[in-house]
Amino acid sequence: MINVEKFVRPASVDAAVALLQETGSVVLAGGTGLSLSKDPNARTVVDLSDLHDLRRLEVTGERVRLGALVTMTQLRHAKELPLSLVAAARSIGSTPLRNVITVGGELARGVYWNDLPVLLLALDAVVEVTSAAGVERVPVAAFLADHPKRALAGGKLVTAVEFSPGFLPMNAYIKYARTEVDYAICDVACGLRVEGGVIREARVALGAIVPLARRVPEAEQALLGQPATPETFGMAAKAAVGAVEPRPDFRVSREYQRQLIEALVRRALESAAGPA
Amino acid sequence: MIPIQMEINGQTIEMEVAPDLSLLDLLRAVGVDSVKKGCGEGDCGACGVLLDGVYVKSCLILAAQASGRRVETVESLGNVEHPHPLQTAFVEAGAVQCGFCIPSMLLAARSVIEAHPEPTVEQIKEGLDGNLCRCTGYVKQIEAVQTAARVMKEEDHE
Repeated sequence: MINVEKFVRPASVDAAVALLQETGSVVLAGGTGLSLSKDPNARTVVDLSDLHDLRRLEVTGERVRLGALVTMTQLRHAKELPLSLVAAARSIGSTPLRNVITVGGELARGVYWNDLPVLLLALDAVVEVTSAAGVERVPVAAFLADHPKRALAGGKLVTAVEFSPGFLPMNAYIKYARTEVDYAICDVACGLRVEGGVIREARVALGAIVPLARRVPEAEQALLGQPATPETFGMAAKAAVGAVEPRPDFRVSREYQRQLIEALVRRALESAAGPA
Repeated sequence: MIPIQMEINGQTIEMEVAPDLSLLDLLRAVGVDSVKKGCGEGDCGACGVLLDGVYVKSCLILAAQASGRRVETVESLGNVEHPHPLQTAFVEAGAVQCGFCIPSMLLAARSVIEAHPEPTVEQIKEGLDGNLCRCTGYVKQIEAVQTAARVMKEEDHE
């Protein structure tokens, strides 16, 4: 914020993305990330406070749509959302932070401690990205794969996230941290669709223990077509350990991180599948 | 400089601020010094205020971002002559030691009781989870919130 000269509060998404075309424009949603930023290139703050439509959380039939300015507190108290999503929102920060942290901010920021994207990967969510050229719908895995900054380059704005709760109806989220309000050491989320006892769709995602939230295809492959049993979940958990290079973390050793991945992936899958 | 206006405890102010000025630093600059600057980066919770009725950490809110909105601090709760039931309960429970975290914690507690008129211990813990208190160990504060909730409910019935 050291070189910021202008502070603007657009009245519409169109006006916001027009402002974002200017070099040096930065987006202000909840503000927990931006307010302490020392980015010398930030010249214009585009404050989204007046874009009230983006605060809407809509559940229509088979589709859930979370506006980009929906807060973690809204998710935490929503009645009609998957419990894993409520749990992920509850695990983020503390009450006064959850009151301002937004869905869009959790996605756009692209730092390892963003918890929500991990769960959105497991729900196979799609990110709605709006720019002056129009609206794109980007699978969250692709949105994160390069880095959100690249996905949003050229003045693009996250305007919503959507998913179909029925696609991966068995899902779970686990955050492992030293205290309730600390940054995660490891986040795990998974989503399953099981038909006749056989796993037909699977998502396994990790966060915090990797530089940026990502899916683990090796673990997903170990699940597909297999019976939904503890043995299968154990195999998938082992596959996850072999597939991921943990991020250096001064709080925990590499050996511990590997054991964490295995234990938490297994627990998340067992939790998603429910009591045998 | 950015022109802003906001309502602070019922009084409207208008001024020009630097784009990186936090709401916390603005409040202290205009003399609202019940709002404390502990860490300045969103960890300690000593700077909590109600922004349009929502409990937030004012060190992470930009003053310009709060323009056009309503800010309430502990001064809006009560004073020595006319304390709020929460303030009375905190004093009587022994929930205040050094007092640095208390103005913000009282606002967090008020939000808890607004959302849950008969809060459970879990609901109180969640509502106060943004506030570090290095003196008390939180037990007495949880008791105080429960006591205040009971008193407020009785006052409502009178």
